[in-house]
Amino acid sequence: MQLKEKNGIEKKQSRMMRLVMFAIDRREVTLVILILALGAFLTWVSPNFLSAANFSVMLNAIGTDIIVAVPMAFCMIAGHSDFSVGSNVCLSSILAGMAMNAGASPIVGILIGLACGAILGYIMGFAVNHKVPTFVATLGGMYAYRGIAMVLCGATSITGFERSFLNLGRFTIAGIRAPIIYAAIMIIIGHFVLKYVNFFHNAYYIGSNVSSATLAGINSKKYLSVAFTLTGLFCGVAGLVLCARVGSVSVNTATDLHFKNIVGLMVGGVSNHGGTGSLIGGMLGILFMQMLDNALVMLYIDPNYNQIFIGAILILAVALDQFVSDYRAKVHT
Amino acid sequence: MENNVIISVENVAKSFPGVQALKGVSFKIRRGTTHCIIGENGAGKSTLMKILSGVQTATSGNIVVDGETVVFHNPAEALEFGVGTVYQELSNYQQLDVAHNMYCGMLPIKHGMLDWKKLHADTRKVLDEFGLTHVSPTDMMVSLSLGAQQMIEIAKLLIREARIVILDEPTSALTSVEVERLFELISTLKEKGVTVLFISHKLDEVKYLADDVTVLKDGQHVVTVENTEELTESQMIRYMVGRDVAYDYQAGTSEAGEVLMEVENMCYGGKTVQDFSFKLHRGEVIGISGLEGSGRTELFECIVGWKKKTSGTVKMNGKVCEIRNTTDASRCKIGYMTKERKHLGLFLSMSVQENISAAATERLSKKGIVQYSDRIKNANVFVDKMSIKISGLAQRVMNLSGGNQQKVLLGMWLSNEPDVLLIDEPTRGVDVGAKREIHVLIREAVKQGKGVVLISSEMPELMASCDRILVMHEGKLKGELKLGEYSEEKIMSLAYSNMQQVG
Ligand SMILES: Nc1ncnc2c1ncn2[C@@H]1O[C@H](COP(=O)(O)OP(=O)(O)OP(=O)(O)O)[C@@H](O)[C@H]1O
Ligand SMILES: [Mg+2]
Repeated sequence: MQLKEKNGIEKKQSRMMRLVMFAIDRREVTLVILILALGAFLTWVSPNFLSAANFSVMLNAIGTDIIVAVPMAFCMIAGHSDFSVGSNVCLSSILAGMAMNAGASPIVGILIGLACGAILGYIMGFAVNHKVPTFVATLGGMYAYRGIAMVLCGATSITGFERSFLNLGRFTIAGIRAPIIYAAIMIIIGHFVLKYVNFFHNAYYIGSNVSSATLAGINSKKYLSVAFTLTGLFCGVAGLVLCARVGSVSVNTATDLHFKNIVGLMVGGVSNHGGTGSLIGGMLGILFMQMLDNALVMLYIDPNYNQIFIGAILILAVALDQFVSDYRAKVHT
Repeated sequence: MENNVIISVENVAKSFPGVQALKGVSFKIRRGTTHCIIGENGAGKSTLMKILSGVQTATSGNIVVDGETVVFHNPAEALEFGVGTVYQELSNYQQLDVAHNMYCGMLPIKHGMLDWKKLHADTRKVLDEFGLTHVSPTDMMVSLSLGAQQMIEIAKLLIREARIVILDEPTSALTSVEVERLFELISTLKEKGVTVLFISHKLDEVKYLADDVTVLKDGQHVVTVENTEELTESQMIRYMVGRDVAYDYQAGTSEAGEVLMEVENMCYGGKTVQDFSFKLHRGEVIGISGLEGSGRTELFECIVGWKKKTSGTVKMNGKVCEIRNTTDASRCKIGYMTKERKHLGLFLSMSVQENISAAATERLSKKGIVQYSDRIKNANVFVDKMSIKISGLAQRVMNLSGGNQQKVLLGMWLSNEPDVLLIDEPTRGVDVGAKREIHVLIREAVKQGKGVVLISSEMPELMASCDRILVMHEGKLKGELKLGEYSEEKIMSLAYSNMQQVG
């Protein structure tokens, strides 16, 4: 008797759980629905939301974020979250800017920015491959790189770039602005590479169980080295694009980029434990987070609340992830 | 009579998305007996045990313990009721010491603080009781052999006064000495009136231990019989599989060709592996026999660069291969399948297809581009050949039964098509029928000019599948037996040689 009741409750629970699990397994679908719903809500609150101007501002802002988020996803799927990206963006664009102000041509400036980004990323990969926990290594990088930037450029901001350089972040094609075009290219290539290029697809194995992957002959150290260097390189790209778009760079550039990207990717199903998630899901997560951000602005909520929001969502996303994997382990062992 | 029954399983059914693991099973377990449960891989044995121990709840049906209908929601609840379980995949705290594992959740407290002295003294006492005199309470769990870990898990249950102890395939990774020790332990449990549920694919063990035997097949109950003279191993197989299974693992059915791999003077860690040399020819399956701690596993690990050898060389086709890590090994076409499939082998959260493809990602891609159709084709070949029981290639490996996980792991390594495959316990947890299929597959690979080296703690399996057997003792090569000269006595006398002279 009692048993039957319990079974009844369990069945209801499990039907609910099945729905939750479905929503989580089909993360991309869920996010598209959420994004549309949020969009509809915002349009209802403020017709301004649908204006081309607002969209353009919003997408412009995430354009540079996404240039970095794509290679970051490559690291995260292999089980490593890089906290140094914001500082890398800042330092490499400051170096490029200083070089150009000192008389270097835009081409040389760009090369310096890219090289700097790649080297800073390589250092992170090197540390991780030499048994420094990723969290420690990249948090160290986050402080150290920002510190170097502060030493180099102090409280001033660097401006006064050539027109040809500025165009890099300001051109439009058919009305679409440069950062969005860069981001779109990154997503398309990133998606293809992660899904079809064997070397990068191995990220899933490395993230799922690095010992098994190593035994299976997958060179995880080489992968991590490449992935961190690429992340660094694209920090350089993002730094240059940002610098060209805004027209200036200072030590305050990209201060919370790492955080925004990691939260977005995690909301999109790219777990920080590694082994799961798709690039498209991750990008939808970032878009969703940006829309929330936008929503807070449009609802005239004090920007300080924004941080509370992002923090809370991060914790929720992690908790949900953990809950789901625990649930799987319980039902499916 | 009813009083005699401690557990009564009544019409228990359990379904998972896409699979009906149990289809209404009923039988009774007598108090104080050793009750063995057998059946093919995926028959539902572990699922039933998980229901008994509260890891999962039945979709329908009742479990009656001591006349009381019970539903356990987690293992702690079950243990409170006296039902304790050692799972198929051990689930202890690998990074904690023995004492903490043993008293987890009931650490002795004095003045509000952890009483280290009592903890260590109590643990010492229990360890001695279990004959684990060589283990210290402060040893890390990881540093112990699987056998010792298993004993500690059982000890843990007894401290908590379990009246019913469930052992899900406890012997699948133990050496014969460890198995003997475990059996002694089981008989003392029985004297204390503890009821033991024992799952194993090794029918000789079942024959030896059981009072009663229950057979499951495809989620259904076949029979529960008393272990009498009439219940022979072949009778059990007939109950399990529904037909007879030949005990033919194909030893000596292929021609040995030229030398494929030469291992010369391999040394590791002082005395663990000492000056070990052997040759492997194309078309050969050779076995390495020895006790736990004889250095067999370390030998494999040194060959593929998983552990750093002290000295020694590996030659492939006469050429020296510089192997520093497993990437080098896979470049030299040497594969290594470990016996710890959960931690060192499988990708539990990934799909069957991705697991089978894992070691062959390069072969299954063209110019660096992943060929999903090739991957699927390849995975299907192994699923068919080994009759791996899955609901689809997209099923996560963690949802497969133990034996089916093992088959996936083997599929992964055979897909890799290495020239030399080193296998530690090829058929761990695999049922009798599938065992043969696996050895046929290994032999098929060998017939195409490859070479295989096996480690198995099951001597009959080794003797039935290998063309030569090398016996290892304390890191040294003690002798070699050729096909036709095999006998358990010979192997044992070599494996024990020194010890007997000393003792
Ligand atoms: N969480 C799950 N989700 C889906 N299917 C499952 C799950 N757990 C078990 N199964 C399926 O239920 C069936 C029975 O599995 P179970 O683990 O009980 O087999 P078993 O008899 O213990 O086999 P083995 O001898 O290989 O350990 C298998 O087909 C398995 O794939
Ligand atoms: Mg099982």
